[in-house]
Amino acid sequence: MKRFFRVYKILFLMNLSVLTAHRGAFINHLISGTVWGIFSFIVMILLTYNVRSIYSWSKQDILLLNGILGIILGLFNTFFQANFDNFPNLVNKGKLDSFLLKPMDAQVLLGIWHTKVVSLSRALIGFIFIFYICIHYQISISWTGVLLSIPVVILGIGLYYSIWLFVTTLTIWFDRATNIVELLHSLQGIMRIPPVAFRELNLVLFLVVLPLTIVAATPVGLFLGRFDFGGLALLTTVSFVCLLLSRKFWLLALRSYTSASS
Amino acid sequence: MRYFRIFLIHLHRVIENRSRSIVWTLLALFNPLIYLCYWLAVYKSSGSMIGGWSLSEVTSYYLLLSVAGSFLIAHIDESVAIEDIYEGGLVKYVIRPFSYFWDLFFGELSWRIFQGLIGIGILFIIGISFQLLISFVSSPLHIFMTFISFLLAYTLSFLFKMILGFSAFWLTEFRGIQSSAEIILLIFAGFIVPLQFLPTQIKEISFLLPFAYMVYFPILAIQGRLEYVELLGVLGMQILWIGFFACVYRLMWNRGIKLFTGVGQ
Amino acid sequence: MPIISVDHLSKHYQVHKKEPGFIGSLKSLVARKYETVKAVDDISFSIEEGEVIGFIGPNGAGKTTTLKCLSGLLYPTKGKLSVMDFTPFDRKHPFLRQISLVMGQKNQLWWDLPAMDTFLLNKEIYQIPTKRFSDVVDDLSVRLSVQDILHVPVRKLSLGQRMKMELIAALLHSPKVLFLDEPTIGLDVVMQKTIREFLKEYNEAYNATIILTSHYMGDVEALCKRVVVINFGHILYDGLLSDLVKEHAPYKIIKVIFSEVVEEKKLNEYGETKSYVFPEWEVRVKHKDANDAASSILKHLPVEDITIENPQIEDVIAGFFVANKKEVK
Repeated sequence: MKRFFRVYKILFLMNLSVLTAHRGAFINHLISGTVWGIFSFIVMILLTYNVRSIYSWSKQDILLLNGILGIILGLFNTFFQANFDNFPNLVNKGKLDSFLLKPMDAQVLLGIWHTKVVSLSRALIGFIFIFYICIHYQISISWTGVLLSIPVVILGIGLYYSIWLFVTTLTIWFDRATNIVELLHSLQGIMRIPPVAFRELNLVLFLVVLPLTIVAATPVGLFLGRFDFGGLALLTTVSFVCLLLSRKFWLLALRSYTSASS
Repeated sequence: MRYFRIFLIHLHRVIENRSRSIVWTLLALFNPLIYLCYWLAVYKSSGSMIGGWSLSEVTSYYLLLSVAGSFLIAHIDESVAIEDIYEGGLVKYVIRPFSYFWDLFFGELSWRIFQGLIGIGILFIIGISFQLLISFVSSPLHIFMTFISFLLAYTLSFLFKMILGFSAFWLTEFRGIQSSAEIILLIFAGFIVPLQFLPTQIKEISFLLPFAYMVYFPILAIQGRLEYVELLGVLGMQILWIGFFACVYRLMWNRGIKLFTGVGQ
Repeated sequence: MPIISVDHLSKHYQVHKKEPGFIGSLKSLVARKYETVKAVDDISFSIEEGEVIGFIGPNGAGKTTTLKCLSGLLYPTKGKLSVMDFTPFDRKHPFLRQISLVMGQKNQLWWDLPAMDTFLLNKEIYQIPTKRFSDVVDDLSVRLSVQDILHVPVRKLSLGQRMKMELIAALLHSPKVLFLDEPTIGLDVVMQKTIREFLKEYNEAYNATIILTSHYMGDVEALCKRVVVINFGHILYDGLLSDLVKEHAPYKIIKVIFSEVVEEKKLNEYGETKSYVFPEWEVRVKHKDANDAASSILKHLPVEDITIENPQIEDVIAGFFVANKKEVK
């Protein structure tokens, strides 16, 4: 564990050095992240403009869901996104080799290689949006629930991580489909909408979208002091199962890795 | 004839990169379908009419949107900015005896047609599986005018994206402007909600901008929701915006090519 | 006990084949045809500790694939591999701490940062004690004359300097087995010489086992006593480089500079003329006849200068491939 933190500390500092070496790119990423963060809330405001509720979810609940999602995505983008975005390129150009030959778990090393500190702006916007929603709609939140939602948010991030790992691992077989990361970005739309919206789908499709729908939806209830033990149990189970399965899938895929020639 | 050849060569390439093509098609399909699930739930839980649209009209809109995105929106800006301008790939076009514009136009068209056809196939399967009905325009004149509006919509989006790509002649970081343009397009082309659902002032602004004529109005046309006069008005606005963008394109090309240094080639 | 043991190793790939033309493209959309390419096919060999082996073969012969199987990057289709008693593909950490794979065109240094930053990262990943790390960095940077540029961002270094830094990064943990894939590719002749000398010194100082692939016969000649010649995934020769030369180039080249014009037909009695453009003449003679031929030439022809040389290794190897050409099945 100590070794992991030592390696992570060095990588974090190296990433900071790279960031500060290119000021223009830093400002560009900061603006881009902020703009997209704000845009995601504009989308929800537009979608809920003519809407009062979806079944048991009120307009405020839906907006709060998106605020929490903003925090989750901000944190995920900071710690993992750049690594997943780069993964198809690593496979396509045979650059995965140097990760596989280091005496450290390649999945872990790949996961922590890049840290994009500027993406914390998106998490910050999420916080601001939640604050605004609470004041505008006079929502009272449960502080116990907020504290309890921290581990739940971490579970949600773990689940989202495993989904990304599943899909990007596919590029080991389909190395030309480097645009698969764009597909996953677009699936973020599923996470913005309450899970009840998908109950009209048939069972198979519902089970496919279920992991994404519960990433951000589960902490919402906790925020508002509504303790849904069933939802928590579901998120915990699905997270652990997906993390385990994605790990197995990754190890299986490595047997088919062909290491593109230089 | 040579542009038809170019079109075929690009079509070869599209088919060769079938996994990429399928992913791009799915990308264009996903968001509208996700929003459709949202609206289905909204309608079923709260009411029969929202913003003056019924459930079947909204369903039809998003299903058509999922295919229209593949057919009508060009994705040429990034390759123009990065591969051609930043990385100097433009060199190989300017020394050839044919037009850079038309080469890219027909090349991009092959991608749109291929992905659009895949999209139609997927839409057909979804429509049958979920017994969803899409209303289509039926009269021959309407069909013809709708087809013209689709062609003009593609041309409009292609010109817009080329202009966006040409910003790389002056900017060292293209992605910032690309992100901003993408956001504007998503909102004002009707990718998030039908423009009818927007707050009144924003709706009126959107009808003046070119983006509504890239996707929103062609979809209304194919749904048969536009009368002949309205359709003529749409065609007119498309032609006006194409004319404007063509002038901007020419200006940017003439100025930008003088700054181009072919670094990396 | 060999440090590396390869037993009937095969590595096959599935490659898609498309018929030409538009119809071929449409067909491949629906039903793709795949062909099995045997990159490595049933090869066996073993290597003792401290040996420096050259793997030679044309492009696509299977050299890099073999190296990647030995380092654990690729999962073999068939066969058994053992490197320091480990199965490479298991990629156990104790195994990875003792090997290094350097590929000429691939790099691990961070582009925007000084090489030292990557070294410090590798120090933590390989758990190298601080004192040993400093000693190794000092030693290697002096040997490669890069002490002054350790703190310069990699993007500002020349190709040769970057290659030296890549080597240091690969050797920080003092690996016992070093796999080098085209380490001097793209470097100028001076830099190639520097790298070769360094590798030789490293092998002698640390008794490291080195497996090297290269298209530059200068690398192989300078470093390797033993070579493995591979083509179409098969081993064609495994033995001493000197024996390969003796066996497949049983001739010498005599180069003569004439002081007067000599008729070409008069020259044929001395051997096989390789080229004759007055005043220079190159003739091929059998090994055992070389001295007699040279004396006779000096006695009977107007010679200004004469030298006797061994054939170029490149020519020998090229000739060897032609003689052992195998069809792809």
